[in-house]
Amino acid sequence: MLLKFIHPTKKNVLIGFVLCQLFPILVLGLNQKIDRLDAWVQFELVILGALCLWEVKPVSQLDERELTVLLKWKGRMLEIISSMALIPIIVLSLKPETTGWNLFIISSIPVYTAFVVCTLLLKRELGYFFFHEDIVSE
Amino acid sequence: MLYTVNIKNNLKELRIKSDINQSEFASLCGVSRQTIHAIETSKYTPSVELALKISIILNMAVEEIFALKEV
Repeated sequence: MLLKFIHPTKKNVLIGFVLCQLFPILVLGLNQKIDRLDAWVQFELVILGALCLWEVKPVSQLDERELTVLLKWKGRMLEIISSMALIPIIVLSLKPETTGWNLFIISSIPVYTAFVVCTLLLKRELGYFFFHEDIVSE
Repeated sequence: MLYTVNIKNNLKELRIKSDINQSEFASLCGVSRQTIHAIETSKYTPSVELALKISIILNMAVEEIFALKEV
């Protein structure tokens, strides 16, 4: 019953996304405001990442089409993310004095962004955002 | 955009004629409602196993439900 209530329809995801905008306030406190664009983008990525973890059912219960779509997107994700291994190599070759922390940030943000975008596209193709409960003759 | 398929079907008409909605039909086939929708809109070609299950549920031959598109 609870799972039916929180099914990720487009409306539910939109409500979840808007509610998650309170997350920065909870973290930073009411008196603080995010006046830097990069900080705001980071928070949005975290919120989208949290929405990516919203699974409708376990992998063992997926049917043949869902497994096909899942494998296709996981393959694409692997291909995209593995190509990003070049980023730290390029950065280091251009700027050898880059610190470890900066290198980590430069490498991890594109990987995380690719993961979030691919996962959201995967869920869209699975049809999770277009779920209608009362379809009789469609 | 999914991928191009060369198989057409009249599953939607046959299902409506049998007075079964997508959710009921999906649970009879053991797949999700979205999969039935994807088959009906020719976005997904079912496996032989699923096609046979569908034919048994609708009590028809597979050829009467699925056919190759004439290119």
